[in-house]
Amino acid sequence: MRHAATLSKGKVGVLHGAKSYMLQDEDGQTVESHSISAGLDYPGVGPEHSWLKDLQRAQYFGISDDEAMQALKALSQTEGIIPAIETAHALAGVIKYGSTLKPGSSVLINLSGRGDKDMETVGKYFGFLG
Amino acid sequence: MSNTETLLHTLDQKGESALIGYFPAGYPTVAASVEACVAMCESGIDILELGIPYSDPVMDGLVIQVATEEALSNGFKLSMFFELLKEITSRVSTPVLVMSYWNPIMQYGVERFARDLKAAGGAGLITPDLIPDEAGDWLRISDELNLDRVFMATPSSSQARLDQVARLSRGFIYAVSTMGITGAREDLDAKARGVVAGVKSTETSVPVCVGIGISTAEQVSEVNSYADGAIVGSVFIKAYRDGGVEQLKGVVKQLKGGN
Repeated sequence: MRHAATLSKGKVGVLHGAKSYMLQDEDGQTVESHSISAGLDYPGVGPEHSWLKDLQRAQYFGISDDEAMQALKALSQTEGIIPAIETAHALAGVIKYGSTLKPGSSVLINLSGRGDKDMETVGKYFGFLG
Repeated sequence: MSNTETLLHTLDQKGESALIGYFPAGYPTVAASVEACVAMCESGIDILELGIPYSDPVMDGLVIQVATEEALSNGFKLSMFFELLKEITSRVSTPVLVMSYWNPIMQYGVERFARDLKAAGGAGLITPDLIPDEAGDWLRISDELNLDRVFMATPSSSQARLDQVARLSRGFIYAVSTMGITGAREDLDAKARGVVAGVKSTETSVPVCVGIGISTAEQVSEVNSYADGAIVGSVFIKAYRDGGVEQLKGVVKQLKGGN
């Protein structure tokens, strides 16, 4: 299945001038990625994330298109905040992995982008638009 | 001493200038690309720049992109490359420099790639997306095997970068004529002269060749009036695409005549 889980499934290479984790075949040819979020649909990842991963300062998990879209809907309906689909992946991560935290734990989410730019994708996904 | 440098200096002393011709390996097929490259060498190019098709050819314009995509979709793999190179170098005496983006070399293994390149008769490597600062493994193994290593000098390079490129290149220095991608342009960017002058001011003995945008005999002449060679690619691929080996040979002769 096509994905864009560069940090969990990629290998270190050089893409577009940066050394980082990337999706590639054995010849180093880039493998085509997929994500419902345009901003994540890329076979590479910012080198800072690769560095944080290697330092074990951060952990990275994959989130499916469906999980992200359900999280987008949940935040929109409960808080009236429409997150970007990129950001919705982080929200989905909290929903998915938050249950493993101790009761009373605080979770800080970086709401990195707004979703009004994504309305067409969202509308098509939920069937509001043809 | 690099054979490529000796050749370029000899041409210069004879008052003749160099034509460096690019063609992608595996385009349209492995066997056909060998024939095209041999034909280019036999028709007058002085140095062959043999490209390795890559999925993200950030330096290349549409003509080369389409050709290398075709090579990849026709099944080109790195494992076929050294046989292909050996076939060419066994049939012609023209120096063959391999142009590759860095990732395929990194994945193959830098030292392994260099040794296989040497064994197949390759003269060296042109590395468009490798800066000398990141080239430690390649600097070491290319010194050991006496392989040419061609780094880029561009209109945005600082003098410190030009000094570094001049000091660490062997064979020739690739002066990029313009801040853009490969493909024919009517007017060669005046910046090309500036880049060449910047490199020459380092008093390097390594020849400086200009690439990007060169497609006519007049441009080849013009470039050779202030640099040590002209690098041409897209127009050869177009000729081959439109009229096969015969048309390719014709364009090579025409551009070499521009000297």
